[in-house]
Amino acid sequence: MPDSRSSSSPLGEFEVVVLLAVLHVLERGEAAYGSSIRDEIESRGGRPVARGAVYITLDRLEDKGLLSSRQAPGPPVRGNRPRRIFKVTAAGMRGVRQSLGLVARMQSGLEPILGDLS
Amino acid sequence: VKPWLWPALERRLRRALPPVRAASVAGDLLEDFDRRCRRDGRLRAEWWLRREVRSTAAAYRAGERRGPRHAARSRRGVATASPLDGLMFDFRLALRSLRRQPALTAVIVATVGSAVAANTALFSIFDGLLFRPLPYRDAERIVRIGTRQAFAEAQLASGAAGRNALIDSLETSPLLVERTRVLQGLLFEDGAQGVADLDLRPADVTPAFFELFDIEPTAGRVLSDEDLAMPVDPRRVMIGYDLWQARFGRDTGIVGRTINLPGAMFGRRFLVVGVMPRDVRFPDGAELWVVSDERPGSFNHARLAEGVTIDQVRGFWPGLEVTTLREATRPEGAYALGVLLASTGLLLLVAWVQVAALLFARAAGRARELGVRLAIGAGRRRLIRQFATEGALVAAGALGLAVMVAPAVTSAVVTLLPPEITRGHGLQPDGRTLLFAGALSLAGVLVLALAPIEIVRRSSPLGLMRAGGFSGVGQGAARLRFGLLAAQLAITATLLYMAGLSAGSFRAAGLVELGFAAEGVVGIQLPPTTLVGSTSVERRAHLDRQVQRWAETPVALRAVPGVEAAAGGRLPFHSSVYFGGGGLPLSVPGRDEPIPVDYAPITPDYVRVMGLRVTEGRAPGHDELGDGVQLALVNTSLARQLSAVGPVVGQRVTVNRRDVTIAGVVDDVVMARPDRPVAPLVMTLLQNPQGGYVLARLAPDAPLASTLDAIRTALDRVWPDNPSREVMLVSDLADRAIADYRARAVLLGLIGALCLPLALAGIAGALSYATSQRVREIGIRMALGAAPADIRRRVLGRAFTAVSLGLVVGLAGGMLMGRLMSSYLFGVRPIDGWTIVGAAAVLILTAWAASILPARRAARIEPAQALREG
Repeated sequence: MPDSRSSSSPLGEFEVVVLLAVLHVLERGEAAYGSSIRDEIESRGGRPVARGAVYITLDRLEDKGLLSSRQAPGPPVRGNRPRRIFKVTAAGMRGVRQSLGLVARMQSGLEPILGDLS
Repeated sequence: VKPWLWPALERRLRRALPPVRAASVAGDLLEDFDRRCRRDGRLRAEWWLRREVRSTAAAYRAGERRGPRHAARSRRGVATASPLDGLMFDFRLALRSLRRQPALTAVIVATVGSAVAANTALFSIFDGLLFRPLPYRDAERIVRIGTRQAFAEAQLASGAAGRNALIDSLETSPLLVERTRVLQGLLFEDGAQGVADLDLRPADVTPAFFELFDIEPTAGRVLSDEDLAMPVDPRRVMIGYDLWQARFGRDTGIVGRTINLPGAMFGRRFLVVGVMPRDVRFPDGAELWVVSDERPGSFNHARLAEGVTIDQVRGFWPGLEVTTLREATRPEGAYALGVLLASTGLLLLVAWVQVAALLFARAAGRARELGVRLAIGAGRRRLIRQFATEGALVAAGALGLAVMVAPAVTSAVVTLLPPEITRGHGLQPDGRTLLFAGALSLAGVLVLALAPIEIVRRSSPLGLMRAGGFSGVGQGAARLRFGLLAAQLAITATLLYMAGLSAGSFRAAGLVELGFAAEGVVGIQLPPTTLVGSTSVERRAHLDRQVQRWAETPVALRAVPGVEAAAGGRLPFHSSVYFGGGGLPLSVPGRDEPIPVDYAPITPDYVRVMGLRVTEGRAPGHDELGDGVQLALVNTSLARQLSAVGPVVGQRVTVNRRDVTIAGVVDDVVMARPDRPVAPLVMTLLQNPQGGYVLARLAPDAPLASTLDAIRTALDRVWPDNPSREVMLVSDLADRAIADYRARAVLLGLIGALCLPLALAGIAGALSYATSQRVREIGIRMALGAAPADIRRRVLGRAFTAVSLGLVVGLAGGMLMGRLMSSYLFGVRPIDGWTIVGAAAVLILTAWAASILPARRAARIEPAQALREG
């Protein structure tokens, strides 16, 4: 079912998290696929994330054109099952900036109340 | 390295995920699994993998393409698959489906509940009478010892020396470690007897009793040797728990107080030293215990030494009657109630079958629902779980009902039973019996609740939905239903037959020709000989006074208006030493073997009071009794044996170390139990009674209550300081003698009566169901010209096929049970024509009553409408 919302609409929180995780993995020069993305979210977020939720969100972001994926061979332990490697599209970069920019603008001036966020 | 369960997991993934995705997700999982294997070990990694696959598949199923929020929610949805949540889900589902059919649910709960309650009541009674362990330490080592017979034999064989030797060996033998004497009733120092006509039952024991029975008082202390030395007024007593609760409100301050018990105890004063434990009512429902001294050889209860068996004791003293305490306290004929235990099992079975049929009808009504659920993928296990949950819910409701009702049912049954059987036993339901009856019934209910699944399983979902009933299943279901009904009717027939046999035995025992006119005869137990006084002169004077009073008693009674005659002699059906106990040897000149006989000293008027018929010789009058000649009467049974020697009248025989001349023969008289053959009896004639009983015959038109009052007044006058107030009606005693027959008849009748409504419901339910399944067929028949009467006949015919089948099987079972209980039957044979006819008639009548309504409803079916709807 194609999504009715346009790519310019603000992203959901978890979608932003997944996009940022893909960027982090790519930044390290590694291949961004399901497991590595999930590991990234879990290690940074500090709490377990449902595998299904990650895959569904990845599918969704790809449908929206914010991510693109290709099949690539993986290590032998996968037994011929391809890895699905993700890349962030230009639209994806725009979407992340938009969402984070909105958050940053909303947040500015509240530092005394919110304190250190990292 | 792939886990062994991988293929199944991957299949699962492929089913839930789009094919394009499945391969890469599976690859990711394998990669992670590999890492985890190295980190956590294979076993844990496999657990992890299984969980991961399940949650991913579930997330995809529920939240596919719906965005993260839905995905997140679906994760909670996965969590409901945990066993506890699943149970709650089943529970809610079951509750909903039970609420949808409130009437049916109520019927099921009521049926099972009352069956459990009834069975709990019956089990509690059997348990209390037969199985409940006695509340004493090492109770199996406590024995009752009957010495009289052994003493009498020793005395007969070698006089007082033999008797003393036996007493010595009994008192010193290492086979027995503790000894006590327990008597029912209570003898005061002046010979007055505390009596049992009020609800107070006194017991007279030796101090060793409390040690032997290891009694821990509820309050105060137990009686001891010191209490023997204490003054006799007030007398020191222990009171029973029930008495303490009923009269003194469980006030521990009662200990050390002096109480007065008017009525039964002639206003004597008692000093309470302690309260007995709750479950001790020994002997025979006692509520008041006093101690008195023990004479050598008078003990009647003892504890076996460690490792000594009862057979060793029996072998050591052959003449001794040694019984375990359990046998001794078990009421007469209580073993017979064991047969009834089997019957209660049958009752349970009837209730189960009934419930199975009801649940089956429920399942039939839900065939369409089940078909739909099967079609949309409900697994067989899923449905079984739901049926089991429903069964458990019904069971819980039924058990709750049973817990509430069981105590009332138990006391109701206990009041129906003869007090001779139930007295002195704590016959109340407890957790044990409730659990037993409950577990039996509920296990059955659970199993039967699952039975419909078997049928559902074999049929296709489509068939179930289309047919909207089990007609799609074919003949199997109908046959099962019919079989259940026939089985139930068979069990009912068996129980009815057994009830009929017991009732017949009770009737026959009550109709036994007693040989005398029991109606209008009353008996009084006279105070026994006691030695009172400190010097021999005083004792002699006391005894003389006693003898004088014995002689005066019949005279005084004769003067009471309404009394026709009075005499001393044996009181029939009242426990006595010689009756039914093997008897005394009677030697006859010219015959080597002595004849064992029952023996009774009587005064001449006894023949008139009892209405004995003299068949030979004559009954001597008072004037014929001289010093030199002892005269006696014998009964027909004895006369038959004596006639082998010569003419009976005038024969001289020796009995009880006396030579007597037989003056006459009277008809056989039932003195002990109507169901036992009459023993040979010799009655020696005395001028005056010497202890024992005095009997009086009332005039037929004498008003009973006022005459009995007048008799009591007369007794008061003769025995001013210790009147015996217990005036017994011989007809009552005769009834009491067959109390165990009555108990069996009442209980089996009750069980049968409980089964009949169940049978009624079963037949009515089966016919209504069958009719509802065949509306279309009936419609066609009517459209083709069948008259309503034909339809009615067809429905009735169906019922009667089941009834005949049930009767054939059930009556055969009844005859088998009859053979098993043949030792409890009297006057009827295990195969009894009238009982067969009676049981069949009752069952057929029940079936007829049950079929009227369904048959009429079937006959009223409108053909056009039936065809349109069917």
